[in-house]
Amino acid sequence: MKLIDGWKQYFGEKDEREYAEMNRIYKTGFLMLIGGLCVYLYYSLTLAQVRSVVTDEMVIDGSTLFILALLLITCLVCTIMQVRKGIVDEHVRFSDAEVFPSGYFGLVSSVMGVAVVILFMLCRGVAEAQVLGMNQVHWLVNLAMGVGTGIFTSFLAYLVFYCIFRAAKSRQKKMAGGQR
Amino acid sequence: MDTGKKNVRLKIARVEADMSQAQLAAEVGATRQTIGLIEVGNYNPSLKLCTAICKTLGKTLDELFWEEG
Repeated sequence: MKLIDGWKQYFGEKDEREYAEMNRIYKTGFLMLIGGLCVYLYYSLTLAQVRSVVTDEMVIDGSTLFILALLLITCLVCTIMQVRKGIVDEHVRFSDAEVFPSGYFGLVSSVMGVAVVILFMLCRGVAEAQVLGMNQVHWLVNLAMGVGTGIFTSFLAYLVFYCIFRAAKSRQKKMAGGQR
Repeated sequence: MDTGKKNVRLKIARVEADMSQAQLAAEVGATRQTIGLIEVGNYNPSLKLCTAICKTLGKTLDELFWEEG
């Protein structure tokens, strides 16, 4: 502890504006990194699946599984931290809502579903072109499979948002009770 | 970053106290840029920083930060 205190004393006080700006910058970087990792993982897994059509063996390397686990743990930790603070959303309108804002979260879930459809179709198309050749790319089949995955993702995301809302609201009530 | 009104009262109080932006910044634990941005109205400081500035310049929150209407 003495070492940490000495370290803090050496660095001195933090400027609140620069601290807030740095947080905003790192938030942008975090979102870019998460987005990039999602694309990478999706493509890696799709490529492995398409290759398995030729080789009859699905091979997923350890590093891909490690990144997948890291991504899931990171998202889980962030969600738990958010819920523990009783935060639903940074916008007052949705954070203070007593009833689940189904329209807003429905829209966000739908946008996520559309993103998954595009990602699925592109990843699978590129993977098929890479492994089987351009004439073996089944765009319509990929689109149909993408739409199915997108709808599933939308429902899953909506359910997750609902659970986060309920848990955060319950936490907000506990926090308010503690302040009385 | 906020784009509010210029805080002329803060600038006047600082000059009256014969302090530069850098000196005030050092006293309140902020950077010179932050003090400059508060004065031009491009940063909305926290209550903690407002209080520290007021104490350093010997003014009240009303005198430096309260906006009428």
